[in-house]
Amino acid sequence: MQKEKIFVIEDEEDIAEIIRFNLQREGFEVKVVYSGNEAISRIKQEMPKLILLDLMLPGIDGLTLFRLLKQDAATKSIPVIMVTAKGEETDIVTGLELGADDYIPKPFKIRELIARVKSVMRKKTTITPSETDDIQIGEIRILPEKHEIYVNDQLVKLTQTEFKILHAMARKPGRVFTRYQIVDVARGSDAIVTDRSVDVHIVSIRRKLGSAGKRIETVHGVGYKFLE
Amino acid sequence: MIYQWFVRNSIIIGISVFVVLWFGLYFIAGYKNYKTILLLWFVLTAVLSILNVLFLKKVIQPFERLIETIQSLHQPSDNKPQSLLQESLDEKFNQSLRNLIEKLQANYSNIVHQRNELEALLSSMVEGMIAVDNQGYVLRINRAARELFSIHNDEFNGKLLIEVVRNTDLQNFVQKLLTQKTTLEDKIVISKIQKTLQVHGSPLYDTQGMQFGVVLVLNDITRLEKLEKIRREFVSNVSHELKTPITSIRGYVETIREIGFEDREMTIKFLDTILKHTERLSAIIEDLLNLSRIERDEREIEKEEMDLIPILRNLVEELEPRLQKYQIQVEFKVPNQLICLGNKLLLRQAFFNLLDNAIKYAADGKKIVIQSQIQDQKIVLSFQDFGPGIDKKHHERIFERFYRLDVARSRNLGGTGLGLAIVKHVILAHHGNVTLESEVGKGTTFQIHLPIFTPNDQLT
Repeated sequence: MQKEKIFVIEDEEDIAEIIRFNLQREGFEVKVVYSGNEAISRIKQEMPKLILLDLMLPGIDGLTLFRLLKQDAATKSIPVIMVTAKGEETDIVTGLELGADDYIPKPFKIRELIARVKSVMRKKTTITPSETDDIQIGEIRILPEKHEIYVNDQLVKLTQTEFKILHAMARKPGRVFTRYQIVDVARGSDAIVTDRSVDVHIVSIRRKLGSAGKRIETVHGVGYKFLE
Repeated sequence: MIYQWFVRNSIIIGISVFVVLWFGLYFIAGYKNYKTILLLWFVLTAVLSILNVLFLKKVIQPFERLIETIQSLHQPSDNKPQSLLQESLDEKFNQSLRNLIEKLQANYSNIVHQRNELEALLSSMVEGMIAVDNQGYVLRINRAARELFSIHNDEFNGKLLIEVVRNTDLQNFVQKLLTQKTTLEDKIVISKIQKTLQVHGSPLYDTQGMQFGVVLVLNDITRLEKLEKIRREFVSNVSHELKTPITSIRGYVETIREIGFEDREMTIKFLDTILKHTERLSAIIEDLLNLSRIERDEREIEKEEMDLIPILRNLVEELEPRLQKYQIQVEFKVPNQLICLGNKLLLRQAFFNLLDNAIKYAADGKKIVIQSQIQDQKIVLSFQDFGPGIDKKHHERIFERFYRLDVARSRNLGGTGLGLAIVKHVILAHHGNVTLESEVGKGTTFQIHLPIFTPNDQLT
């Protein structure tokens, strides 16, 4: 079987090297690129399965490079994990809203990095359930056609807004949703949702789900995600 | 008014009086005694005329003076008016009028005094102050606020605030203040003058408790904001600079731990990398500490009379292996002695940083020139390289901590990002300054300006 190709775009040689070493051991083919300028053409040539992107790069910075990738039809669908030392929440949020699949703050644990890479790879192969498909994750079952949610076979009453939010997040488990993305999801429902009132809705959903509410995890300063 | 009417109609009144007299006498004495009547009439007329003149003098003159007095009250500096009333109608009236005038004058000067005091108070305020009425018309703008928005003295008279200061944020703030009737605080950026203002606003009430406007107090916090931004950037930079080596160390340690020591050669290579990054971490921390120490002691570093030349020659000797490696020649254009008052260790550190940079960025096989001259009572020591040069846009920021032209390159060369910041602060501590001349493709010259040593300088 052909190895899956991962691009590591990282200007720190030693960090790039240790990522390459570990991902290769996991059976991936790894290409390291040290600058943003060089990255674009090589990505188009080699079409990797995944890109690990450092946001602080010489030349074109990471976020700009990311935008370019998402604007290009050919590279649009390649999953991207952002790696950043700046811890600038605005950069992370911008990245996620532009469609990054995950982010890893530096300094990271190698094991965690590998796990995230694998998780994003797996997500790409499993197809996101359609709007009307039933979803079963752990103790939670969502029946979109009936507009019903069961936790351990107990019917849970959610408002229309809450249902929309939970359904959207459960369709893409593990994926971080920023507040604005949640606002978008809830648009057109009974309540007006703003980026700050998102928190209130999430608290309410968690409470109604009871013990299963733990599945909605807060990603500090960024948003929320639904755990697998 | 009556007096004026009298004067204006005096002829008619006079004639009427005489006519009435004539007919009166005629009626009493009868037609036959017309001679007597004529005589009597003449006598009476004469008496009446004299009385009239006397009366007018007595009655009207004080009124005239009173009017003069009242008119003169408009000029507060004039203190004479009381004397004009001396020969007045009635002593009581005179007295009470005098009291009234005195009181009026006292009140008047009181008001003037208070107004001057208020004016002085407002114009000596560092904060800008703007008072606006309920309709948004400007009541008052103090000097500081006028300067802030460069408004000329009377430009605001009878104008709306928005006409005087064209800023919608400020306008909205005033509107909010007028409707909410509470004290408010906000930060407003005036882009036209590139300033950030902290604005406090509160409603103004008259003695009946009715709101008649609002008052705004403006604080210019542009400098504070800038400092805060620099501080934030610095913290963010420090964390980034520290996280980068830690990420490497962690990654390599975890990897070694994971795969054991199967491959001895690889393990040693990994350990070397870890070592390199711990060294870098400690170099950054060392530089940070140095920098904060220099900054703290800037005013009181120990200085002694010293010669700069041996320090420079010594440094070059020390750097010889690296110079040879890159085939760089160092050319000295200096006198035998260059005496200044300084701290040997700190100056050595600054020179080292500059030479180190010159070696790192000078192209291989080129030279570095160290030159000195005396200019305007200052020692000017320059370090010139013929490397790639530095783009103009970086010149202003290059002495900032962690400011890098090329992040990857500089880090690979082992820089901490603090070298030039240290140079700057060392030289500042010596009451000198550092300048930079550079052109892309031609090279870079750093110039250190230090005060020249004169023997009667105080040793500290």
